[in-house]
Amino acid sequence: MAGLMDVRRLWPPPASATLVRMADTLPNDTDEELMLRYGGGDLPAFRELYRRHREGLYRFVAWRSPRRAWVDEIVQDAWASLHAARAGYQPQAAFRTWLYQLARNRLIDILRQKEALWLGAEVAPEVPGEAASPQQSFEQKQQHALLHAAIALLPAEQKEALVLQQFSAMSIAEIAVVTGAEAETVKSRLRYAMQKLRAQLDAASGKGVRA
Amino acid sequence: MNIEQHDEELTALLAALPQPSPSAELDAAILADAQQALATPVAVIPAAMAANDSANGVVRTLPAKKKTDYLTRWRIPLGLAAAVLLTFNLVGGDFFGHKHATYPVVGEPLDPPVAPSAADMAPAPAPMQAEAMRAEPSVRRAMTAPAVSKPAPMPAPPKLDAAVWLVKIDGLLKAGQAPAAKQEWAAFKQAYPDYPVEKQLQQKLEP
Repeated sequence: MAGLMDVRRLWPPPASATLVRMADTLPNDTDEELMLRYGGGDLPAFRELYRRHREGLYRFVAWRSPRRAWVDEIVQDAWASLHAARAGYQPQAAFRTWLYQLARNRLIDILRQKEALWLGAEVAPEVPGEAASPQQSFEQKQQHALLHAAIALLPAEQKEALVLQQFSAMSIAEIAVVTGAEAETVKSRLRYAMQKLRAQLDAASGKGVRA
Repeated sequence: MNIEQHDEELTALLAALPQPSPSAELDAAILADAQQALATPVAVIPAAMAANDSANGVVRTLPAKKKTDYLTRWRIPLGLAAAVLLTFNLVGGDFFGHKHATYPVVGEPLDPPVAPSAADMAPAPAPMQAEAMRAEPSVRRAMTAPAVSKPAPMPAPPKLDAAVWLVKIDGLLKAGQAPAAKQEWAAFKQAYPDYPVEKQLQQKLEP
């Protein structure tokens, strides 16, 4: 990722501490108000926006990206797209769906560029955040690995809808806006995704019993 | 266990999955990008266009494309026309079947060529050919090359050096060969009309 080492010199304090300080300054503004202020050159408004959406957007990209190593680059590019488009933002579009659309488009573009690297390999992505919970029991880790593998096997559209609903806390209407699909289509994708996950888990538990 | 209960259980399992989160370095990089973006002005991009620009894969951060001016629009047609004209002028006469233009060659007479006579067509005598082969390469080239232009007639080069020639003439006189000496003298006078000659010798040859 370009410029990370330089940025470390520019930003000596930990960013999370910076974000916590910023959270106290603009807590009551809506996303759309903050975005308008950022479009007018207000940097603290952007910091607050980033604090609110950094986790959800990162999860969305991390679950969609075939390679863990590409996630940071895609996320940074997505936020860079926001910087580039800030002056043209119109508040009639909900900020969160707009932001996720930007990230989704960047994700598609970058995956298209790197298509030769990951097509054909069909390697399941690494388990996101697995290293962050060393105190998990072996059984929990096994269950998480099983669930992760089941999600990875889902078709892309179903996985996308599931990730947006379960990990980014989006409503069906919001998912429909982000993915450009009808609400009924989103419901259908979610229903199929849950059915497949259930089937995978049941099959795995059945094998475990037999074993 | 019905499906709804199963879904609740599955949802709880999904919610318990460890989730990735951005690192402090990534946070810092994104915030630095924002700070840098505010320092540099950007063109206004409609929100809908920016959010739906996956067709070409690039967020439209560049300024709007300028309208092409008259010269730019006609650049290619004008260039093609110029190329056609130039080609016609250079190779058109040959390529398009025109009659060859006849231009006088420098040094060549404008009169129609005369058919060579039998004497001109006859091969050179053997001694002359041998002499030509021994001559300088430039001379050989000149002799073998087709005659493009006829050179102006030059005076015949003197056979001998003037002093040597006079010694030869004097020798002929002393040998009693006066007629031969006088022939040589006449030739000498043509070749060296202004060459100073001893009066004594001159009187012997010109009584």
